[in-house]
Amino acid sequence: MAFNYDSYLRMEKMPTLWCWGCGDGIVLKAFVRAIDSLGYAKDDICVVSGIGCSGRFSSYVDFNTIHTTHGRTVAFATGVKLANPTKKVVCVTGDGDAFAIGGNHTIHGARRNIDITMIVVQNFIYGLTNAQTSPTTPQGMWTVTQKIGNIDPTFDACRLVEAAGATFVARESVTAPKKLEKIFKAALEHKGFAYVDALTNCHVNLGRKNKMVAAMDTLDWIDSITVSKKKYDAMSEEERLNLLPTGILHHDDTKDEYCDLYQMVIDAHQGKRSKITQDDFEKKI
Amino acid sequence: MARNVLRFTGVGGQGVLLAGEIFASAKINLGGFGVKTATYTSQVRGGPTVVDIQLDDEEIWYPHAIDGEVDFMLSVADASYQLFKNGVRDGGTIVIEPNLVFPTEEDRKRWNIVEIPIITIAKEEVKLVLTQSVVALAIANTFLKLIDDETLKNTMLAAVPERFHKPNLLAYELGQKYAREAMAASAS
Amino acid sequence: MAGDANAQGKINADGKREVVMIGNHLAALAAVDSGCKFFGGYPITPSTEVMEAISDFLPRVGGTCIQMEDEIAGVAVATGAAMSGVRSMTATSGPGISLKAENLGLAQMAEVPLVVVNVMRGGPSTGLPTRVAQGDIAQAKNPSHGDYKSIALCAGTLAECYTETVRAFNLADRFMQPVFVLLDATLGLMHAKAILPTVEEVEAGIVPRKKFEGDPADYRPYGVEQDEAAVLNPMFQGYRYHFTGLHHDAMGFPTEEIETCRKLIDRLFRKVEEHQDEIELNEEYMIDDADILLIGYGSASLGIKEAVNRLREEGIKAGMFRPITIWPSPEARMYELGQKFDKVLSVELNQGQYLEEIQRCMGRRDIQKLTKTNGRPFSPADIIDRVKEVF
Repeated sequence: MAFNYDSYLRMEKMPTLWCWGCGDGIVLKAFVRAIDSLGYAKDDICVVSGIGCSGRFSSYVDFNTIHTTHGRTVAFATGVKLANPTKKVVCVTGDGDAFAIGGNHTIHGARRNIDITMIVVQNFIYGLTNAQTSPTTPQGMWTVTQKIGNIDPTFDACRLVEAAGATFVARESVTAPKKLEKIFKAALEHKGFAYVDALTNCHVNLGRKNKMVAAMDTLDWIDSITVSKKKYDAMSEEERLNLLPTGILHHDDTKDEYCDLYQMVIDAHQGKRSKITQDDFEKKI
Repeated sequence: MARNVLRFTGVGGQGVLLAGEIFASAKINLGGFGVKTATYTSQVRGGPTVVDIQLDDEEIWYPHAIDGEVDFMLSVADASYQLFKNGVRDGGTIVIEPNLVFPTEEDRKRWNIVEIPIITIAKEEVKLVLTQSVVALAIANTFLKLIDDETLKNTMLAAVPERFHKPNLLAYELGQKYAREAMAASAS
Repeated sequence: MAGDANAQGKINADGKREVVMIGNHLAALAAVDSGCKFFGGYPITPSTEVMEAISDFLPRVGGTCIQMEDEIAGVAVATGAAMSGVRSMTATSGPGISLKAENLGLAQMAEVPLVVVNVMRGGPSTGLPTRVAQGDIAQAKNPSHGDYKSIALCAGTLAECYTETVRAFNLADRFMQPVFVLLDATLGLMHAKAILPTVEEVEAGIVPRKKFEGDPADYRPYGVEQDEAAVLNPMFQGYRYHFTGLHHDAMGFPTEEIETCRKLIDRLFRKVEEHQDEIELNEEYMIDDADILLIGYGSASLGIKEAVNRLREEGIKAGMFRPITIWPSPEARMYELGQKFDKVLSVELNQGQYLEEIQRCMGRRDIQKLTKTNGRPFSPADIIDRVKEVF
């Protein structure tokens, strides 16, 4: 029997504002299936989104939802989570949100290892506002703010958040919806800062002037730049140059989660434990 | 009593400024009114700093000392001494740390300048430089007789951790002693 | 607050609480006594002592204080907690408000109750970080772009650092929007005795935000009367709706429908304007028999009071009018006073940010002014000299 999405979606908001052939809908459906398979109650979830095409994600899902200012999702979500540590808090943002205007919050959310699932709908461009350069736009591609070709280097978001302290880091693309669902499920189940780079196609604003005008062309391009972590690990540096590994890239269950750490602060202030010292931490610097 | 206006000056980070807080608290403990305001430059460490204390039996509205109405000033740094001395009324008392503050001859004519090596006392006699604030507190109260010594000492002890009670009580006694000697010397 | 000997203070003969503290600590104490459970912020002189104190106070009552990575995150995290349903606060100084402005606009638009303490210092830009100013009066009226109606309370005494913070929490929940508490470097850092209401009195006065108790199918968080605030239930309790900074409909979902957009902004104004009697608070000091009216607010009023007393000793009958609720301004009362007094002097630690409002309310342009923007307070002598100079 086909999966029934209706009870998780605000059906009166359909159709979405996403373009025909956009992969954001695949992200949305994979996310809903992952939630369903985990059996979470709709009331126990808060979804926080930012600005851009991905920003509308929060208005389509029937959870507690917040559409914030540009780039600030992780900071808002941190407030919701710390005030309600038993609830599930999810950020859905774009690459501009997460790595340009809001880069600082992404870094510090990861550093704290707070129990938030952060899904970046990564389309390599500013789609909603018609093709301005993103921090993940490949060099040499056309954008409306760099029509002669983008000169700005990109960075690897997954490596950035891992270095910052995220304890679950994964990447998958909309060309593999089942795998994406599995990764969302694993990210949601992980206790700590879980980051998912969800690669998707913006054939309209990235593809149009970069010779990938049909949705399938952009999806093919995404396939051409991704390879499973297993294969990637076996490759030489040269072979890896223009590839992004997919799958679960980093998973560490040993680090303290921030709400748990804050409980230590509460306990210390309430006389239930001694003051926190360096002896409480394995890593001292 | 009429209003008493005290000024403590130094550079940021010097503990002498704590004396002001203790004075205000002691006055309040006695049922009166006390206000402390501190002014720092944006360089909190090492910048000239002034703490003004006003004590009164009536409610005090304006919290800063009014220039020309300061009765007593204590200073342990020359930069702040020079910057804030003009707030002291003519004939008022200024206690200075003679190793660190250098008044002019005109200053000595205008004010009753008393030299007490506050920091040296704390460093060499109490052997705990942090107690300079309590040396300063005792000196100020010995000159001004504003608050009975027991109340002031108890307020001071409430503000410092128990393991420092002994050196701070010693600092208080030394402050009293040096102040009395200085007063006797200037009287003779 | 329970469990803190100093904060408990002692109960005096009138049954009031006497504490000895700085203003910034009093704001923190007031928050916790008012049931605040969340603080997010970023250190900035001269407001940092608010966070220093509340980082100790909140965990004792099971609340949370977090130092964020920047000012923007400070207001965002506090707003996020408030959206989820708890009483929440942030504190900063002028440069921090500049950075927080966009998210304060979101809180206005989405009707999120939040207390924002601004301990004012000299500006513009980095200005005079450790020195006093009242330069953020205009900013408090319109920190963010767009149209909305600010509520800003300006403490003028040490005790009001406490009582105005308490009032701010109740007003934030009543009107469902950010409420500013303006302190300044003088009040925030002065150390003296403050006489406060008891914890029991404060607790008895807490009026939490309205909550819809009916069938979730009938719930319309933003579908309220045109002069009322949104009714935003806490999250995770079965009433799911949407927060957004976009123009939105009765459930909070984005819309550009013409009439809905018009009514939304109209309501953001009318919910405040039509209930100003619940917000306005002024002090009138010796004005009944006065010939000269001094108008000032915040810490400047301390110098003004002392000046009024000293002028009266000289036989000059001066009095003071002090708005405690700065925004919305006490328009009607200022108009009356403008009719009654010929001689009016506005005293403020800026170049005349409130003077324009006084002129507007009084319908007069012949208001004298005394201004200062060098980071130093007004001494009573400054004010006395100006009174003698202009009248």
